[in-house]
Amino acid sequence: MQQKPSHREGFLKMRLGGETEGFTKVWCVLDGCTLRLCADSRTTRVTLGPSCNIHRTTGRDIEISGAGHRSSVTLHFGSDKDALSWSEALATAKQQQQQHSSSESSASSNSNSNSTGGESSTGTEAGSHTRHHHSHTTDSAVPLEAVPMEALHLHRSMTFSIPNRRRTSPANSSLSQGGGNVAKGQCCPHQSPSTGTSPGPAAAGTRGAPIPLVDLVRKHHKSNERCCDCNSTESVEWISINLLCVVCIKCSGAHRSLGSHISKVRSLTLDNFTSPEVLHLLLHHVSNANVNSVYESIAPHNKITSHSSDAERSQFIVDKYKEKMFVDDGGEGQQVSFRRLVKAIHLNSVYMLQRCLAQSGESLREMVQEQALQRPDEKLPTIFQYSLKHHDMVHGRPVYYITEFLLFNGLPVDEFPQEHANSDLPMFKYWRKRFETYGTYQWVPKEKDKDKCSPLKDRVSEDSLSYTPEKNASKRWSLNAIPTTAQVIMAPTNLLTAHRSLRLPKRGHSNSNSS
Amino acid sequence: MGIFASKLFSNLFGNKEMRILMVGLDGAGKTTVLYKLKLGEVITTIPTIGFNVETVQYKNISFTVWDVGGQDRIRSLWRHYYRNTEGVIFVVDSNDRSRITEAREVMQRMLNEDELRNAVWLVFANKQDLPEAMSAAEITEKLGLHSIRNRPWFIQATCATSGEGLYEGLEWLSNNLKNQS
Repeated sequence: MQQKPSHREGFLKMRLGGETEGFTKVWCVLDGCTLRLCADSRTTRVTLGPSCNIHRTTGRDIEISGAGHRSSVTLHFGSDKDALSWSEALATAKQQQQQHSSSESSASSNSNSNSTGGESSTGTEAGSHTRHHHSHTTDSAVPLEAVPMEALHLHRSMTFSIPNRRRTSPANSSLSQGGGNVAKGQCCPHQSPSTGTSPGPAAAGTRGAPIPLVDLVRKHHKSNERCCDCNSTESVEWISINLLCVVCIKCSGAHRSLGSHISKVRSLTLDNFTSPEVLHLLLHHVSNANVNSVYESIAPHNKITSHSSDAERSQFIVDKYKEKMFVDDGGEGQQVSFRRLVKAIHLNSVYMLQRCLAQSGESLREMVQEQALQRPDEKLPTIFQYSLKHHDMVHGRPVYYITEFLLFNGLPVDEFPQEHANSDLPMFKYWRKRFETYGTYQWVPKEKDKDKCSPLKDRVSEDSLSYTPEKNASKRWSLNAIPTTAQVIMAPTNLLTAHRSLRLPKRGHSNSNSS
Repeated sequence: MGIFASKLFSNLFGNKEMRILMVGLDGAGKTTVLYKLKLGEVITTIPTIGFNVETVQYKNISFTVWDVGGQDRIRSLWRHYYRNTEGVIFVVDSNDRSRITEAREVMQRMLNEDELRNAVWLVFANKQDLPEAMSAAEITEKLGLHSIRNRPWFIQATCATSGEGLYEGLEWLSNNLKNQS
């Protein structure tokens, strides 16, 4: 049997948010392939555009197929006047389709000429799949290699990928038959590793006009349309990637003056974001409402507006994020905050992590390292390694967004295990990359911090810190003149001293070292 | 004519001019450095989308300092400021370890620019007052400054909000200007 790549399936994953009514319209060129849409339980109507057919239905999933014409499918949901039950909605859609098909017979016969080898290349699993359910959709089972999507115009933020799966693998049959719920975002790619396309920005699937990142972030949560601090609506294009809030340009200036250990500000319009981890955080976890529910849980006495002066603005932002004056910590001690940290990672909850970091009196690094000092003899995975197990699978690749979020907030990277230097596992690749970026830290206890601002001359010989060819033309630079690297410290290895119930092995590639 | 006369006059008394380009990643503190030098006070800045330019008088040298925005997508505009630049001030946020690699890449790319081949290179290891700031020595190593052989360079630990180190940097620039002319 031929083993050529025979078919591509599209998986559409949309988050419909909390809206009560609306529609999602998908424009596509199916070109003989099928596209499976997983309808939400709120779906009330399905409208098929010309040259688009229902290939099969399973539960609330519809597989549509079409010839090489641009066509559209619209899923309506919510309290529509002519709301229909699911079966009625399907029946109406099929009626529509029959009307279309009579006018399109010429188009389908054209594409039939492409079908040589199509049937034979699909394996036993897919055999049932390719059998025609509708006599008039003769082109529906023709597998072509073209990527079918040309453009997608979506009502809500979405991610889209066309993994190049072979239909002969058993995992795929479960994929194409299992019911996925689109609105929950728990769609198929979780279940099997694949050779998925690169996880680019959410709009990567749209070849036409990509949706700007700033719009995607705003659409994710309504509160992101206004500045997190002063409630302004003007140029709210700046984001703190460690606090996960969106601010206006004036407040971004105040955020930057806090220092990057408190707020790391980037521009949603002028910066490029390429890391899948950062994109995952930006697209799914930015919410000003969440941030304010933590950082303004006690009503601030000096809340600013868009017209506040620079001095008031700076003072408020210092009070809010540096002094954490408006955070209600619930009177919990440090030991509890460490346990809550572990629990938040365990539950993959960015929001819990945000709360935990805000309510803890000390920085994440201090928290983790003091814990290491208290229990030096226990050999448990570190917070860093523990968080690596709590990733999300996007397009068949792990995205370590929990780890990334913690790193932004000051978590030290464990020393990279050199025996895995050539490992191809995504976890080690990610680990090595972050290790190279952040390096290791020499932990400086609090008392010594005051000496840090001492002038440079006290600490190192000035000789090694400049180069003037005219003066030192004959000087050879010995190795001794080069400053030694930051001392490598032992990775804290004993951090998970939390409750036994929290030491569960997690899914993913790396549950070998969590015994 | 008047301008020419005043230029001639000031040159007779040893006044010199030096064109400086100040660059660095976004949020490194370039604008704060510029206005601390110009006004002697710390102003609340907002991210620079275009550029700021000021002349700063130090001893007998008048520095024209161009401060350009550092966001990723506007870094490609820096090259428009390269021509006739005699000195580059590269500002680094010493507190942000996660971006020092990015700073190195950006700086090394600039060092290869033909239009900047005669520019002297001053690095400000800024924000030394913050708790986790890297020392100038650590930044020297991480930026790969020791590999620069074709021009004078110098790294100065600074704190723009207190003004520490800024004039030491200008002092070095003025000395190296003299060396060249």
